[in-house]
Amino acid sequence: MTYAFPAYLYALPAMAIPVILYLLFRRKRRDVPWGAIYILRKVIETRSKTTAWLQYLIIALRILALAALIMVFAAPHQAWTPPTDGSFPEAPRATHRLILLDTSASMTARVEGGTALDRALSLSRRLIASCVAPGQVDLLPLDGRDKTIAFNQLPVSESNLEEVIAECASTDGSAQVRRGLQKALDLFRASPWQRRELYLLSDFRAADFGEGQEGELARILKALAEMGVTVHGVRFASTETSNFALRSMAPAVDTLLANQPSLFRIEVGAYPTGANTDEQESILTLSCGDKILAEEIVALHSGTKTLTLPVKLPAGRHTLTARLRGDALNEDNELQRSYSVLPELRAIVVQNIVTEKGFDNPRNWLENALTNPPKQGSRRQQKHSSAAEAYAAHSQKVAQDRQTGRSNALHDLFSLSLEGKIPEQLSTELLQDAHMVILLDVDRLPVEILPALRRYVLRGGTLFLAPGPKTTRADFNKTFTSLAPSLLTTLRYDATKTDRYEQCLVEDSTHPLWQALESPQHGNLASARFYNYFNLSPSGAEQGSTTLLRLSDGAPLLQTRQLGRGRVHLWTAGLGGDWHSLVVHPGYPVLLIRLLQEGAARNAWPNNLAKGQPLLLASEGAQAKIIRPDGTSEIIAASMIDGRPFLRYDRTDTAGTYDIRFDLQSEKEGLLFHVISASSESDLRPLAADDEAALASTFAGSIQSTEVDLVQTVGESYGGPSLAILCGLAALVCFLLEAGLTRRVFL
Amino acid sequence: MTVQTPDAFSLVDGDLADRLRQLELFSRFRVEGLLQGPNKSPMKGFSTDFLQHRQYYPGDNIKYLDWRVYGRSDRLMIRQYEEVTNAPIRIVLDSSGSMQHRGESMSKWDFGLRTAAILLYVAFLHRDAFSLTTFASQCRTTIPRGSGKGHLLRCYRALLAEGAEGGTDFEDGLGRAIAGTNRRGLTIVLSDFMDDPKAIIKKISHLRFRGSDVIALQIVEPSEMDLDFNSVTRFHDLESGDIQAIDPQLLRRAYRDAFAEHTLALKESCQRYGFQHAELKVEDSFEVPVLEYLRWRMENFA
Repeated sequence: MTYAFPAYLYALPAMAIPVILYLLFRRKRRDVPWGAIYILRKVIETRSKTTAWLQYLIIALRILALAALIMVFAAPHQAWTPPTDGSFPEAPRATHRLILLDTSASMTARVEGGTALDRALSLSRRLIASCVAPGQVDLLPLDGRDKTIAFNQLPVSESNLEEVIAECASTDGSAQVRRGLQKALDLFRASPWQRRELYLLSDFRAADFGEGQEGELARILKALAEMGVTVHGVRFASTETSNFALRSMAPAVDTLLANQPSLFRIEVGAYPTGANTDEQESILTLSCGDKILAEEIVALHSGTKTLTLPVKLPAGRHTLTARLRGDALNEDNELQRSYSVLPELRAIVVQNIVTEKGFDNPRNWLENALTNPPKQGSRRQQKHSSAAEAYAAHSQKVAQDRQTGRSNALHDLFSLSLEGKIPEQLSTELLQDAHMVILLDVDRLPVEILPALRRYVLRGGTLFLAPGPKTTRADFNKTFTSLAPSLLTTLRYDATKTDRYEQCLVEDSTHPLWQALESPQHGNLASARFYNYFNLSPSGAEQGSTTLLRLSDGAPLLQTRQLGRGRVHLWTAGLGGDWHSLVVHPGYPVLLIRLLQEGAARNAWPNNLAKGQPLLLASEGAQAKIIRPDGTSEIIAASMIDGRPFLRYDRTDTAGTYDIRFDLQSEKEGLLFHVISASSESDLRPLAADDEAALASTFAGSIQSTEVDLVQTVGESYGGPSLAILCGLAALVCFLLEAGLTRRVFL
Repeated sequence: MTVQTPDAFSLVDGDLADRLRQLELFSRFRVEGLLQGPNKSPMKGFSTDFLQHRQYYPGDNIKYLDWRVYGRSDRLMIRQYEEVTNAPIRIVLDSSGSMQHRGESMSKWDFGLRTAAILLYVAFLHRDAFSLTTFASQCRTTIPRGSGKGHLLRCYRALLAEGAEGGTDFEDGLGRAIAGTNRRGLTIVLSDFMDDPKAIIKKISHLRFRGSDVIALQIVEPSEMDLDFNSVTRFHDLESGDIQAIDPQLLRRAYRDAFAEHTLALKESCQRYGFQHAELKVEDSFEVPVLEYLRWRMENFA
């Protein structure tokens, strides 16, 4: 026998009250002289034995009545017997049952008998079906929308139940447990029902319950307990799983160059659960369409690991898919990203009219480094297998193919187009298609050009200022006051003193620009010597300029400034060979190509977006159909900007792939854009030991590891058929008998 | 309430004496009195109430010949008249310890004493011959039959000198108290009758057999009729001093029933033997019950 409210059993000693009262009154006797003792004696002779027994019987009845009354409050039940058909114990009448359903991505992990979400939904169905009228049952998915599905008509019909259950799909991100519990608190506050039950169906992963929210959860659970809410938790997670997750995939710059090897940094996480401490292995495959670009075995105990895979792609728009071998949670084993691969980088080199030739002209250094392929068997080609080398090799091959007429777009390396102009030749039309504008030793510009140049930068263009030996500092400062990251101050050294030089240091090694440079393979900028350069005024930092490269004496070498969507770079040592040896350094072309590539990426609309970032692209028609990740589609109209149609789509609130089709009737896949969710939201990391202990303490052991345990726990709490009515009847009978015997027999 | 012990002259004071003048004690049956009075006598005499005619026998006083009958029927008939006489009244008062029981007003003894005084005074007013006997376990005081004011005072003094104490023995005490009654009259027994009703009545019934009229006045203290106590109580027997410790709640109903049964049995026995039974409840106005009873008796039997 179990009790619904066993605390009332503490009142059982009250059964002694009748005996105590009897003994107290027996001791407190009084003396009375009595005349009719004859009758009294006669009564005593005839009734004494019967009276004594009745007296004890009355006391016994009083004790029994009190005991039965206490039992009524304690609400005893017969012992619970597990149902043979596996059904969930039927909820008592007037029960308000609230189911908090974790629909986070981690619930799609495989457990015994399907995914965790499938099993949670199955249990939800049984929980809802076992509710009877009068009562209420609510279902609240923990997806952060706070949308409660209420079933006020009980029992819930099968069709209604299936319809609701079908709507509960997994969502991106972690479960909003705190918000769900807070919502539950609000629901139960307004609940008219006496018995209240809260079921939390989750996998209790670190992503949902970690990060120190125990205090807040404990506060809410305490409030729920004070309201008489019984909390049951069910953990849908395998004890031992091997799980890998692809957390991120990104090249240094989102805009790639045709057939230029780009280093893709792919972060892989391993989150085994349970006591499995062996190193887990998986295979990472990077593919573009049907073509597998790279394959690598990943071996990890736990934690994250960043793999760097060189990938080269032909010109065009490509969607890359990184995929790990199937494991417990397949949802996070695949990443898709789209990249635009440019066939050409276009730069405009602006220089005053100069008479110098050869290496005295810095433009020649530029053209030599970027557009002239190295000769066969040169030392540079043999030694370096870098991006520059690859570029050089492919440039040579392309040049040869062009000569022989064997050009192939699939294998063609990107090309660099350096267009030389004098300042007076610059125009808005000319700037429109340039990925970068390089100003070589230019300290003056026509007044009408400056606004166009500024507008070019504001719209995403990149301006590279390279003052050199022929730059007049005052003129430069005067001309580029509003554009330059900083103003020039003084020359550091005399150019004739060649015995003193400085070295280049990267200010932030994690900057994407230097990822391909900071290795011996790709040329270390630190080996170049810098003999002279302009010092910069410290006012640059005030207007948001950042230093990317610094010399060993602390002076800035490359400073950049964000202006609108574009950037302005300021190179303080000139781009020719007058003040430094970088021009003969293998990193020189790579650095310039990087800056160009970064400029090109800045000029283009992103293919991979963060949540909420608007999706922008040039349209091919007046309308386009967008198929969202959840399968729904929308038709959006293009807007005309500068005479060209553009699409803008702002509802990028759901992570996943957005397919944009300009042919509204087409079933063929269109342009793919990807909205990226936070990498920490899709993993199966279990709770750390201290978090697990805190959770167990917070939930006071009410989390069950299996459904069978839950059924057992709930069933035992309900107990078998209630005996409270029988106890009530017994109490009533005892009271009536006692009253009858006391009033009718004796009085 | 404190009841002061009265003296012989204050037992029946002026107002009460005036009210008693309207009442009379009489026997429902014929009595053998010595003086003339309101009661019918078994003797035939020559008063004003015609009784019957009787044949004339030689030696009869011819003064009583009914000449009219002789004129009509030529027969000599003597007119007989009913003789009326005073009633010999005997007051028998129970002075056992149980009469000491006191409720909210006076004790049963005080009440019985005053009631006896009233009855004696009524007898005195009508020049009846009255006597007083008290008994407990045996006959205690006996004031023989007499009349007149002096005799009344003697009876009162005897009453006041008496106290309620000792046990009750209706067999012996009451038996002896009524043993000397040979002449037919009215006997009034004042008692709480706390004994077997059948035995008591059987003893009193001897008087009835001798032709006396008997009134059994049962003095009842209302608090005695119920055990109105909530806790365990030790009941002291006023006669023997015995103690009965009981829980009154458990016996209340049985006690009440037993008391009612006792009274009923007494009443039935009285009816069976031709007595009159009356229940006099002790209250502050002690004269009210007995006066009401006497008035009722006059209205029904006079």
